Amino acid sequence: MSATLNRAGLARDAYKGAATTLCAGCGHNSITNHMVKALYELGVEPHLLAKMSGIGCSSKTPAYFVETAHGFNGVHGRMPSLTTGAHLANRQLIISASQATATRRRSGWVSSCT
Amino acid sequence: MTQPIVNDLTIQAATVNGSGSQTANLVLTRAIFHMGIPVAPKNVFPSNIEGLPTWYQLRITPEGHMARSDKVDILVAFNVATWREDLKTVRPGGAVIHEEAFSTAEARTDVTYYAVPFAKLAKSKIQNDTLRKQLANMIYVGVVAGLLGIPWEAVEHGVRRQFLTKPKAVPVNLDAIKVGYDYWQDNFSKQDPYRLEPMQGVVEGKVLVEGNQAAALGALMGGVTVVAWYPITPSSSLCEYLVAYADRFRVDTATGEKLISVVQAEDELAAVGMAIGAGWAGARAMTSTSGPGISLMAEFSGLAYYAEVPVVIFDIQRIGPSTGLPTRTSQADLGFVYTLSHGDTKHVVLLPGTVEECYEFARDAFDYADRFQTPVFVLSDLDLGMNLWMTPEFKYPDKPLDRGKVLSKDDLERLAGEWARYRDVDGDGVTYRTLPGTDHPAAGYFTRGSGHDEMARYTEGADAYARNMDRLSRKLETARHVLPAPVADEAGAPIALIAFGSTHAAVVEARETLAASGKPVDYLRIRALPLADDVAEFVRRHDHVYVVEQNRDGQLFDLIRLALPAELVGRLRSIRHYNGQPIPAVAITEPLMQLEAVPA
Repeated sequence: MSATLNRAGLARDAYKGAATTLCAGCGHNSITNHMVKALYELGVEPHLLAKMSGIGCSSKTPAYFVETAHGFNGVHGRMPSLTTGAHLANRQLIISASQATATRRRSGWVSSCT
Repeated sequence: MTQPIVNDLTIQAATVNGSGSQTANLVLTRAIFHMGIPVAPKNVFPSNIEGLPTWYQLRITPEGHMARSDKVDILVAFNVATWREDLKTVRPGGAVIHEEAFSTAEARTDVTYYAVPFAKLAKSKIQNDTLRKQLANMIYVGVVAGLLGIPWEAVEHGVRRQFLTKPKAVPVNLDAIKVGYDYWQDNFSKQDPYRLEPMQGVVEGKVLVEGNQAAALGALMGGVTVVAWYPITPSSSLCEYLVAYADRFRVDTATGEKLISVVQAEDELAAVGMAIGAGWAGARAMTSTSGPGISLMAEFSGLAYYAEVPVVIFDIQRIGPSTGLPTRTSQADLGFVYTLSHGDTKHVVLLPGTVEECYEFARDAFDYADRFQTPVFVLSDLDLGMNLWMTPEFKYPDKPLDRGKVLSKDDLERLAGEWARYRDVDGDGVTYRTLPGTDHPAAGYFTRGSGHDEMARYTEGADAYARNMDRLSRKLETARHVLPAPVADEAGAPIALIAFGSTHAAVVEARETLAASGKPVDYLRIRALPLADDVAEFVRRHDHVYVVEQNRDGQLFDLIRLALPAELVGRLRSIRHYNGQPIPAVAITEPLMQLEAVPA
């Protein structure tokens, strides 16, 4: 494990979450690992991160990275509206959004979707 | 001629939807209101853009009764399709202004007819080709002004007030009204007893406002910053008014930037989802809808209840189920909204009974939502929301916003990061939350609609689930004691009425009628769910209590019965009105007198 600090002054460990409960080899785990890497490398401050999702396997993702950040498991397939609302409420937030549809990243949202 | 009837009459204009008749109706309303005379307009319109029949009832009483009347004194018949049926609604001795071309052969002989060649007058006297159809309606305003003795100055005021933002339209409309006014003077002599005379001391300090307009203003005063909505009658005008107010009053004057976000979402599911997402992130957030939209919002409402997210949801009720009668009023969402969602769910529901309360409750709803971290529903209806009501001017808020139990960075430092999102520290069921963006390592927590413990961690633990549900009950019990209390008006009568929402206007009038016939009744107006303890105590003080409401199944009646001790249940009786028309007083007095005649 690298002890190198990013521009937020944090080690990569600060971006870890709970242990995955998904199936071994599940593609979501790979996505999650890359989310950890990306957020670390971008130097995102955890308190500014909001992890949004629906419910279901892909929507468990927010539990598996940046444990100290705010997260929201919503209702099935309805992550985008919750995310839009959170974004409107606080434009400073950096929002990751996951549910079982598409992959997208735009204007302040980091989305890991499958 | 018979004895004059002054300032006590109901005008009904029967016109064709989309013809511009509503503008004429509003001019007439504002002109009469300007004379100091109380007015109570009810717009009965079809679910249609153009062509179907529409009616506008303008009730005028010296007392200022606001409920719909079931009797018409003066009919303005502009729609040949409904002419025969409209004629049946007129009170014997009433007056009928009608298009000359409508046949009065075999028509009633107990009313006075004033036949006016509206079509010919429009053709010969109105020069503006493009606006002729719309302006033709203005001719009847002139005829009615002549018939009832409305001063020209009041007519001018009505037109200016109606076209406040379009002053260019004033002369052309006044010209059209003058055509009717002159026609009356030149061709008729007064044959009916109805007239209007200026009054003093009744409408001073009062304004005419729609409930949705009042609620929009209330939401603005409540500090709303995120509005997500999907249009639906009769709710749409609430957000439309809000947008208009926000464009004026929620703009950063230095930068021109809007200080409020409004999203017209793709549907009601997204609308409420956005509002909940915003409420979670710390905004004062709302959506507004009607029955079909409320049905779609059920799942998300359960999420906000269980995950404890503040959000304000307006339901401007219309007739259901399903699409129902989209432009007719109802109070039939009460039971559904109270427990909206699957699972054990119970919501805070505010029940404004006047436009003033639409304003106040809309404002306070945001405080309650933040304070109790839960969805707060404001249940209005088409009658209250879309009709103009005479009301005292609204008061500017005299208290700061209540953002509830929110831990800041400083709070967390003071607590050394020791806190739990769902721990009942104060014993009132209301726990502490943090907002995303709070700069403290312990601020973050996980919000979820699945089972969770005090630390907001996922759990399927039996005890944790039951404990959490019990706390949610405790929280609602805390709310119950601070929500708007029922309003009692008692003078020791043995019988009483209970009502909520727009039914209030008809109850006020029914009580006057009953008192005048020697049967005074007490009154309790419910203003929130869950029910306050006062309700049972009120029932205990009376032999019979009639619950009056505008739905088929007696939904409030049922809720009160469930809340009463067994020995009081038998005292309750139910009066229901559910045909989509705003309840008139007679729909209370007649069944009450019949039921009183039956031995208990």
